[in-house]
Formats: sequence, C-alpha cells, structure tokens
Amino acid sequence: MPVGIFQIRKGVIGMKYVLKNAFVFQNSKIEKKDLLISDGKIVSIGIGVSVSQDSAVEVIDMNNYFVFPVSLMFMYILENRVFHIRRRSEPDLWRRLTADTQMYARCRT
Amino acid sequence: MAAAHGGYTDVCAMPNLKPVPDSAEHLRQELDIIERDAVINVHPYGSLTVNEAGEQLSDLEGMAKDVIAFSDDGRGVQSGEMMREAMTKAKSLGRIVAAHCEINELLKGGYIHDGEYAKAHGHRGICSESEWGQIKRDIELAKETGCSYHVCHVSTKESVELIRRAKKDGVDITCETGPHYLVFSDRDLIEDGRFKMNPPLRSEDDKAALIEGILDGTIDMIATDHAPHSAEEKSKGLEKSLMGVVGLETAFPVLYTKLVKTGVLTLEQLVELMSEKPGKRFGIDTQIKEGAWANLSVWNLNKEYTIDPDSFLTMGRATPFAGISVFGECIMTMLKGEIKWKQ
Repeated sequence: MPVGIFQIRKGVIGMKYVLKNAFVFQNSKIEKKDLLISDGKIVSIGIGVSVSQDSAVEVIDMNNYFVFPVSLMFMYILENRVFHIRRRSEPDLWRRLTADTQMYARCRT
Repeated sequence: MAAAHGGYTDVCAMPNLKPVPDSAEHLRQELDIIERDAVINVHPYGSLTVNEAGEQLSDLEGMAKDVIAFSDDGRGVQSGEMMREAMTKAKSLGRIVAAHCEINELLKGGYIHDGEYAKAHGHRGICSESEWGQIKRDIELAKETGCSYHVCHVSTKESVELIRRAKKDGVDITCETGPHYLVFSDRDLIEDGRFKMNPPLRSEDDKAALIEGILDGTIDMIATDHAPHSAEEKSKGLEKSLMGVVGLETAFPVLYTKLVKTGVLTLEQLVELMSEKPGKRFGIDTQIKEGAWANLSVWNLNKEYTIDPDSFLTMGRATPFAGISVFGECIMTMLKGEIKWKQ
C-alpha cells in the first residue's frame, strides 16, 4: 500500500449514523440495505440494522438513494497554490494571473 | 471540496506542478500543501523524469514511499531508453508507471483531432499515431521490464486494440479513458475552448472502439483528467485556448445518463469502472464492507438537471458538458464517517 501519511488520518470519533433505506453497492451488486457507521467505520450492513437501544445514533433516511463506494480519481491536476486564489472572494487577484500560474498552465499544453 | 461535490474522496494528483515533484525535496512542498489544504485523501504522483523534461530520471527511490505511482503526465517520454530506465526502476520499487502517450514529432502544431472537423475548418490536427505509436513502444518495454504499466486517457481505436492484444499476451497493463471521449467525437466540436483537451476528441469510430473496450474489459477504468484552467485561459477558441477541461463534478452524472440510462452499461459496471477497478490497480481499498472506513457517496439518481459550470466548486469552469441535461445528483460524500459534502 503506497498510501498512508497523506490520507485524512482520523475518523469522526463518537459519531454514529444509520443510513436507512439505501440502495448499497457491495460485492458488485446493488441491494437495499441499512448501514451503521460508528467512529468513522462501517460497523454493520444489512436489512433492518438494529439501533433501538442507542439514543446517540443519528438515523438518516436515504429515501431510496444510492450509496456507492467512493470514486477514485487517479488523473487529477491539483488545484495548487495559485488556484487557491478565491475566484469569487478575490476576483481582482484571480484576474491578475501571475507568471507562476501561466507557467503551471502551460504544462497542460 | 470540488472532488467531494462530485462524489470523490480520493484523488491522485498528477505531477505537472511547479516545482515538479521529481525529488523528495520537491515532493515535500506538494505534500505540505496537501496536508495544509486537503479535505479529502490526496495521493501524489512523482514525476518519471526531472522537471518532466524526459532527459534525466527523477529520484524515484527517494519518492517511492510517498507516491501512488510515477508519471510525466501531460508529456510523453520521448526517449525509449529513458522509458526503459524508468520502467526498470519503477519495477524494482514496486510502483506503477502511468503514461501520457504522445510522440512530439508527430504533433506538428496540432491542437484538435486530425479528422473531418479539422480539415473542414482549417485547423491543424493531431494524428492518432502520436498516441498509439508511443503505447506500442511502451507495451514492448513493459513486456521486457515486467513493469506495471498504465496508459492514461486512451482516445484512439488503435490504442484500444494494442492494449487488448497486450493483455492477451500477459503484459501487466491497464488503461483508462475519459467521459468526454465516450460521449463526444470531433463531430461535436464547436469553436470553443471548452472542447479542447489533450488527447483531443477523436472520430466516431474511435468513440465506438472505446465503448467496445469498456464493455470487453480492455479499458479498466474511467478518469476525467480534471484540469482547472481559468476562464481567460479557455476563452481563446480551439486554436489558442489551453488544453484541458474540468470533470470531477460531472463525471458520474454524465456517464450515468449517457451510458447507463441508455443501456450501454449497467449501474454496477459503472461503479466498478469508477471505484473498484481503479482502487484495486492503485492499491486503495474502496469497498463498502463491515470494518472498513465509511468512505462513500450518496446519489439521487432520479434528479434531473442541466449542467451549469457556475455551480461547480472547482476553480475551472471549462467543460464540454455545459448545458447538457443529466440525471444523478450527489447528495452526500462521507470520508471516514465525516460528511465532507452535503446537499
């Protein structure tokens, strides 16, 4: 596994969700299931996941929405420091493209 | 945030940056930005050659532990000897070489496909061989070195056929194409920079071959080659605009609408092409399973809307899909249980 230190390191500690009534993609199939998520991890997947004793659980009705594993974009041009200029909040700065920006952009030609 | 808006929690950042991550020191600068600013997982590539100039091998060993793969994306490695050296080293380090394949001497100043539209409108064309010629060379090198080889943004029918044959021959090769190559051809070109990318939109025959390649497994995955150029950079028509379009926020809705709803692919196949297969190739666990991190996206597939670049969170706005009606809206994206994007 080459990845590691650049991943967001921690899950959300103490948060529990149930995503109910979702069409979940798992093992190359899409089936209606519930997902129990706790401390950032998927704890349980199934039909009618039970959480009745746990008042700290936030139940989110997925209303037949589809839950997919994350898509991985492996061809991504980083919106690097020059593109962190906020187009909306700093329009003047955005328009004044720096030499750095243009050099970066030329890499794509 | 734009990635999360598009349902992505992991992106692999190409090395065409300044400075190019061609050494541990230069890579560190990129990592610092990622660690400071990223709200999702960002996996950097290291460059194959110093400054992506194709003349001297980068410090692959110094970067190997911190990169997802090596690539000179945006530039083809022109020297076969240099590519052999890079593949040999990458193989020894257990890393993939991901190649943007392009023979510079065949470009001849071209900027769109060397097809009917270019001829009819007096544009300079990019021939298909500029892509497949280098893929052909690299397949032989991958065979010789045993390197894991990935071809970026395949666009021509000849490329698909070469990769199909290489897979049959047992070469460790994968490839991807982009949504725009599966939806458009050079018949759809208009004089607008948002239709300009590299490789260019090819012919209808090429598009058909790409879809066939998707269906028979020759093409393993779909990526957008997301390139966030400014409005000014993309405002100069086909000839003068910079190459590249954005795609993070339109990839899934476009592919769902144009390929799944039309019956070309099943929804399961599309998810595999965008999640499972790239995850498996690049060593990132994307599966939904008990005990795994809650990395997932939630979609309302019944929602129909028109793609409006002004609604994008990415800094770039140039997309050939502007104004197209699609189905599929990302309702929520969760990374390690934390909601990163919610409608």
